[in-house]
Amino acid sequence: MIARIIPLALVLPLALATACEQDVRHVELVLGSVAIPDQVAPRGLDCVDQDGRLMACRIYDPDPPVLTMVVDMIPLGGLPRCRANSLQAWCAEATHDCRPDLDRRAIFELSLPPDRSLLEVFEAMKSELSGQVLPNPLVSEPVIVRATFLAQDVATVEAAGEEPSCEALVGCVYSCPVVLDGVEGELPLELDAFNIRCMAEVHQCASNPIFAIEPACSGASGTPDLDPLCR
Amino acid sequence: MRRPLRLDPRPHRREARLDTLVKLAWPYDWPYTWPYAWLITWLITVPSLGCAGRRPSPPTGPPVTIVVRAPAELAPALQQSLATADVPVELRFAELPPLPPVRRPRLGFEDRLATARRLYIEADFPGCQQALRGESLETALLGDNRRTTAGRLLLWRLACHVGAGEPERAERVAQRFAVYDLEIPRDVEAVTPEVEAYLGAAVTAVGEAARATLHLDSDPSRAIVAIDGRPAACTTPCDLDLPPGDHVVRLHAAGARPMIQPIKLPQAGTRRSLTLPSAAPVEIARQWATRYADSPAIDSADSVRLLSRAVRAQRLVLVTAEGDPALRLRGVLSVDDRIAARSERDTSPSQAPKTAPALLEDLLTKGQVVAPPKPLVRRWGFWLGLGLSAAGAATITGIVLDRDPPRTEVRFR
Repeated sequence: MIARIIPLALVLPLALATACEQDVRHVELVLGSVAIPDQVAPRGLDCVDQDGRLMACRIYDPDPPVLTMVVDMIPLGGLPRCRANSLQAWCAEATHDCRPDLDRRAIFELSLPPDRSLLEVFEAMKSELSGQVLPNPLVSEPVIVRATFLAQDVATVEAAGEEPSCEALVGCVYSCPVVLDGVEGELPLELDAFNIRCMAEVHQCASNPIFAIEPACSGASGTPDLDPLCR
Repeated sequence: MRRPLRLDPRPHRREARLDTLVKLAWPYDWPYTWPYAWLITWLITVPSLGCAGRRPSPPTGPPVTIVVRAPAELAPALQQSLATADVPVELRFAELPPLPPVRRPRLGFEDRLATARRLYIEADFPGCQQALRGESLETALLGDNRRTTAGRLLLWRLACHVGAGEPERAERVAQRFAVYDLEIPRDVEAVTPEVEAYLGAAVTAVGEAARATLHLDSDPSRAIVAIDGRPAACTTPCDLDLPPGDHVVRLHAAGARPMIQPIKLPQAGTRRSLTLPSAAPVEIARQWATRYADSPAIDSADSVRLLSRAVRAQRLVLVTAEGDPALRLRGVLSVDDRIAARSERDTSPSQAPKTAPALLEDLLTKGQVVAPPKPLVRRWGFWLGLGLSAAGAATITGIVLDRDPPRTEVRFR
């Protein structure tokens, strides 16, 4: 009898303790593909503009240079497939709003290295973002997590409201449709594009609603003329 | 290429995946509660029911003696497993009685017959009579089924009486020879024709006389009757048609000492009822071993009754194991000399030690030596366990329902 009760007495408090603790799931946003460990810049931050210049060089257009990242939770009302054309078709339906929840928007102003080097910018950006927690994520329904990079300061971005400045647009990446409550681990953010001539895809990514057929910003990438020092 | 999202393998993560699928239809956190509730329910219920299933009573009543007949390599394991049977009675083990040694024919009587023969040839008829003196001799020989020797004894007594000139005594001896229906021995070649004439006349007279009926009964009944040294003539109660005159009756029955009784059968017949004294356990063991040690009827009612008396067991269980490779375990329970239950199981030599305790419990339950286990719903432990389970499940469910749902933290790597 005693031998039967002892295991019960050991297991019961353990079960109760397990039942009482609150679990925390961790979802880690990764800039770029998780399949490319040494990737310098994710696709979406290495696109070139209509002049063939890297859009990322726009961070040096203002004086002083500035870079701000806007993270949006975009409710989808369902779970479409991840490819850009599927998302575009999904968001084209009248019942799917695909606009960001501005109450959950998070804006990070990123510090820039003293040297004029995009490689160092991307390294510093990753380092600075590491461990940063989104203050109010939408976790209980299907969303796209989108990060838009702008060559503007936080005040200007906040004042601009929903639509980003086309001239200040540096890049844009997004996640696949996901319910954050249902996953754990790495969630990659990148742009669904084949090469660096991806300005149009960046415009679609940064538009509101996302993947608008006619985004507010227009234009296509020209022949690349790459200069990582943005001279 | 986007890598597929990794789903958390832990249970509550699966809950989360389930939650993902049903969230739109059921936007609550209820799925988290049930695994915990059921886990605790089982943890409480199973041990409680286990407690409820045990036989609570201490050993009661006389001990149960167990005798095992099995192949030598299996018997120790069977005994060991039976000793661990969960029954509220004291168990004892006894060995099967061994086969008695082969009885050698008694010597010595041949010397007396040789002496009588020599004295007869030397015409020393008184000495001849002296050598064969003893009225109980022929009773003992016939009681021991030694008809040939008894025939030689009577022949030489007859010859000695004839030689001594004692015709009346010679006629009485010749008549007994004829009534016993003995075969004439070869020794007749050594006696005078006058002796043969006595024998011939007596055999003729007895053969022509009307027969009489001897009705025999015994306590215990079903005793085996041997008459005048002829074994297994009948089983009591029975009637025997015999020539009138002196006869020797031998009765033997299981559990009783054999009885040798001279009977004088009158012309009108007679009824005799004989009481056989009980045998000592050692003698009963010898009887059992002689009859059943190597017999397939070892678990017959007579065998078990005799065995229970041989091992002095008021409650006896005989377990036999036969067959290879398929083994048949058979058990019989005897209570107060009566078969109370039988049971058997088909098993294998390797599984027999596990099967034997169940066989024993079955026998003791059927034979009402132990009370059958109460149905589950009539045990207090069941309801206690059920109540505890319900209370535990309700408590845990309440706790789990009351706790905060898992929190999701989204951050940059």
